[in-house]
Amino acid sequence: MLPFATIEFYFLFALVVALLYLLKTIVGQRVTLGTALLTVSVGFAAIYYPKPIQLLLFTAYQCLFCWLLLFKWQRLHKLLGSLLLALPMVLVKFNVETDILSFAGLSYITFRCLQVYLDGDLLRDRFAFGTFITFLLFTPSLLVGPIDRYERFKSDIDDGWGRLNKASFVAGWEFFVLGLLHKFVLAELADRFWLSHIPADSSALVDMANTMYAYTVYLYFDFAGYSLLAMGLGRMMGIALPFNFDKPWLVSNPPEFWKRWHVSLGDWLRDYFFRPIYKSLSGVQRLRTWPLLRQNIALFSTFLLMGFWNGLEPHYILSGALFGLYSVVYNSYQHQSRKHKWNLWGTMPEWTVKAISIFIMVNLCCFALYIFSGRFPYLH
Amino acid sequence: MTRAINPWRTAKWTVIYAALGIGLWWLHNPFEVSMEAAASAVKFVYQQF
Repeated sequence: MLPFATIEFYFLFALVVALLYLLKTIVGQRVTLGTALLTVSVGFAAIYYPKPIQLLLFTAYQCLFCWLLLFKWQRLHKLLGSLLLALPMVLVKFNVETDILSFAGLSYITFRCLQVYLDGDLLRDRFAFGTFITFLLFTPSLLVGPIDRYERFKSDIDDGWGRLNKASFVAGWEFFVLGLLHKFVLAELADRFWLSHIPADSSALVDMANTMYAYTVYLYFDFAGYSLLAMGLGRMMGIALPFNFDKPWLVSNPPEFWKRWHVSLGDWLRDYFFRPIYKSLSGVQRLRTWPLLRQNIALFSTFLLMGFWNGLEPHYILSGALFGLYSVVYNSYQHQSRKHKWNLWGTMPEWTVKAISIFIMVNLCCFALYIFSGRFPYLH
Repeated sequence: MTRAINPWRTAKWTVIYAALGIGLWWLHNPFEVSMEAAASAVKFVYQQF
């Protein structure tokens, strides 16, 4: 069973949470929270998760090579090491090997593993094998995140049974209830009574606009709901998984959007893709005097990569490129406006500027997500 | 010492629980089906992951 997808999962994890609190009381002195969560995570992956053998073999591959890269092959170039860890995911994306390696959650485990490897210089002293496996396989975030960071995750585990208290349970429960409402009521309403009623692949402008808004609303409630469920269950099990969505429809520019929409992916791409690219471009002699161009190349490449990661179909790549284009245009505007002390909005009142910016940004994002959905008729 | 009751918070959570209860009952009738129907939406969004 996939996490949060069947009613049996909810019964199973109600039992797991109750058992964790019972363990804390009965054997809290002898068994650590880390051991208990490791048992739960590996147990769920081995017994209930679809394709458990593939998942466990893949996790073993990631653990082995991450350990080798961190402790034995330290001289290997980071790019080669990253490619080694990302190789299974790349093979699946290019349809080279799909039977053995293709299973839900592959990308997110790869991202978590890459984070540990790329931050290796900071994390090497704090690397613990059991915690690392729990970090990769932690059930609430196994399927689609949020993409946690190892050091934050480990600090929660190290806090021990004290993490299981009334305050974190109540906070977790509230996220959980909100997640249920988002995913099983609001997303379901948007899908059943709005999106499903629009003729698929219609090229009439009204239908296209309707699909664009309906899909975006559905995707937001479904994905934000899933993230809230993961955060809620995580907190009830003692792990404070990070926020993934924070009112993304109140943003007025692209950087702000990525601080509020799928936040953990945006942060991951910024830290482990944008920054290394920007840094390496800074070493290119011809680009030394073109900081804006360097930034824009790094920005566009980052979003294009996001598109390729979603899949090699044209709609995924184009939606990534669109998000990249938005960011490049906004970044260039910001740069020019600072440089020439010039403002597109003139003396317009601040609240009007904000309202217009939000309207434009929301519609641009809806359009990019419409392309992402694969329902845009001219891409077939 | 007991914590003071916040009427806004109480009202907010009453609305949330009511919407959740009615929504789950209406959309997923717990006596007839599991949440598999809603779960099918998962593949719609997450199949590429």
